[in-house]
Amino acid sequence: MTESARKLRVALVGNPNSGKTALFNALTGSRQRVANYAGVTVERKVGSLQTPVGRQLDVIDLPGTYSLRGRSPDELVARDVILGQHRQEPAPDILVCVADATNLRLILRLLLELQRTGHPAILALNMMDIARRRGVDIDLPGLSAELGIPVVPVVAVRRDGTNALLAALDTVADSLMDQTQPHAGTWREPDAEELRTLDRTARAVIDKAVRNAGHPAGFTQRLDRIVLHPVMGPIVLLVVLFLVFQAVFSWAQLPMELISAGFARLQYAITQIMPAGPLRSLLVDGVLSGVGAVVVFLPQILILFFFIILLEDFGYMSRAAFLMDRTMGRVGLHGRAFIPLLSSFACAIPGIMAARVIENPRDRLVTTMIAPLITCSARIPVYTLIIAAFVPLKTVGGIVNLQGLVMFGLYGAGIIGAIAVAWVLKRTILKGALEPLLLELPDYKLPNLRNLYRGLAMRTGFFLRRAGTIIAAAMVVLWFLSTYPSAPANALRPAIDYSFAGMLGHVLQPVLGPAGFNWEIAIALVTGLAAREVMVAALGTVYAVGTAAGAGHGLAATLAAQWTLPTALALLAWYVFAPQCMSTLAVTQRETNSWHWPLLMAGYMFVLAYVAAFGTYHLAATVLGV
Amino acid sequence: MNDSISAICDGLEELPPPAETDAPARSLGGLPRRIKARITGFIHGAVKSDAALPARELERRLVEMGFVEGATVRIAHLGGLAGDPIGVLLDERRLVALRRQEAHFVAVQYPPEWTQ
Repeated sequence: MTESARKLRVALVGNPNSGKTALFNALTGSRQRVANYAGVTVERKVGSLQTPVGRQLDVIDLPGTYSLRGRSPDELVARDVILGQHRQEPAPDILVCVADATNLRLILRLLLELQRTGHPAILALNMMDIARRRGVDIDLPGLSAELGIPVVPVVAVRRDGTNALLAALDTVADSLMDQTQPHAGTWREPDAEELRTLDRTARAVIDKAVRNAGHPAGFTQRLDRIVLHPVMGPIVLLVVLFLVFQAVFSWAQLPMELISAGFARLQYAITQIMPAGPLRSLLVDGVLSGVGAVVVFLPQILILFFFIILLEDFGYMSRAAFLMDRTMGRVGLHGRAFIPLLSSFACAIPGIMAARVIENPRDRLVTTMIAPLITCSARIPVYTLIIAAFVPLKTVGGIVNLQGLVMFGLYGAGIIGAIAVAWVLKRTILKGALEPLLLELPDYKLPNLRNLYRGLAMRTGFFLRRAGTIIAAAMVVLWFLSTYPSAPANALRPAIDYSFAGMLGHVLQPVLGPAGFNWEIAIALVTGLAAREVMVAALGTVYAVGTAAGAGHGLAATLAAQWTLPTALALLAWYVFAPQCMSTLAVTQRETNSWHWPLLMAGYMFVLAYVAAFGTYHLAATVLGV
Repeated sequence: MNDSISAICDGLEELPPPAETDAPARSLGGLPRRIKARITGFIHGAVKSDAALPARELERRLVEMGFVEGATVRIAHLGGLAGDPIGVLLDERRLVALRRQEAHFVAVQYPPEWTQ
């Protein structure tokens, strides 16, 4: 195949925090796709761009890396793609080495390694605007001559900031056309001595070509005096987290009400248009009420990710990992586990995906295994429903709202559970010393709106696809099980009692009974296997008080009349550990590439849930004398 | 107690880094806060046998992060009251976090009187 017959492929390579993703977004705009590499949860970001002469190029954004040695799943993907050893991704034709212009030494060392792979390369000096403001003065032609490759200044976050890079890509692509001999790579894994030699070469290049390395970022140093202060730092972190969660719960309220009202209106409209029958019931009671129950969390997830991406872009997240490392290390967690676990408050799936920044497979597994114990937003509707039904709305000690206190306690129980499980795992099956913390704390920089938008759009797409596929399908199955066989005409009990779901509930009742659950709860727990929040819709169906969207207060009142307080408390305890989330188990399977870990996850969570519910039920029954 | 040391050291931090032969090698893990020192090598004996990484691999990772002989280091931040992990300012430019345990592996030089 001739070079002109196919599109050339450009790979972006660089250290973490070099602004590589911002450059990728600037180059490809909306012509990009984000997916996952098969078998691992490493994001595969591919797009295309057009050069000034109209040439179309494919662009791959490789995960940030300090070396070609492949120490984490992220770095393995970067290494394999560059060396042309990746199963899915053909070798790139041109490497664009993205550098933070204020910090050339590490990337030049990596670049010298990259040149041994035989690929033509371009050095893109990103964040040139910041560098110039800090007095950095680089002799670009000199640097280019020293390295033997084109060197271009780039400001990824500014319009026209990538023109020089695009022109350079054209030049390199032209030279590739003339070249008939395929390049030969001589890269092999360097040892410490070779790394030192490369570093010395990099330093020599810098000494020749960098006229002024610029002054350190004064703003960063001033802010770090507070943010990384041994006493003030943790306080700032707590305040930041408090404000984020405050925003997640208060800002999301209105959009959530609107979404839930929208679904109710849609259900009503369909009821008006369609004649009564199985199809209408499937649409209204099955698909719409189930999908609606999940989509309603979109605002909370978006707000949480808005802050996570913002803080990450700003440079705060690695500092949070630094501040939390000691505390988390006590139970065997790596400081880097902080971000995955924080994401898990929205949903365990992005949390488990974010765990890929942890290099050591054992440390990563511990984080993955405990992520579903962090109270995700899918538990909120279950908690809210039961608390509204059983916990009186009164004030304790003059200021504390009792319902809020119970909610806080449930979040706390989840965190304590996660800590305990991590502690046990680290001392049993995942024993081993903690991976070193070697974490760059980058200079602070203003978050980029385009990155924020792309990041949020990606999460939204992922979440909605999940709601539209897995959960919608589960709702169809659930609807079928709870509708057929239909009740006889002279039925005295609720229709669901006669259905398959009802039969299943009665079969399970002897098992769940000792934990305080009646057969109605058993049905709801079974149907809630697809996703935790589906349970609310299922309880609505079981107690025949209408669809999920309209369930609200009616359902709470029904439950208050039907359940004892120990039963309600037992169900809350169950949900702290509840294993019911197929998507989490599926992501764990993909991440670990085995069935062993998701099965262990489901197993230990089920045991904990049962023990917690059983204990809570009997303790409460004894104390209350029920 | 550390505060009094760092107070003394505050005035000293602008001193030029010591020449190679000035002082015996110490470890970055034991470097007083805010004192500037120069990396002289790695102390392979400081890595425990049950550590997550063998000394050779830890050395490569540190070199990859910029901890090379001749670079200057300064402990600029402490992660919490226990003083671990530490935020190390490399070459007065890049801030890198690491734990004391790994910092003990990095040999540094600075005049002995600075620690008194």
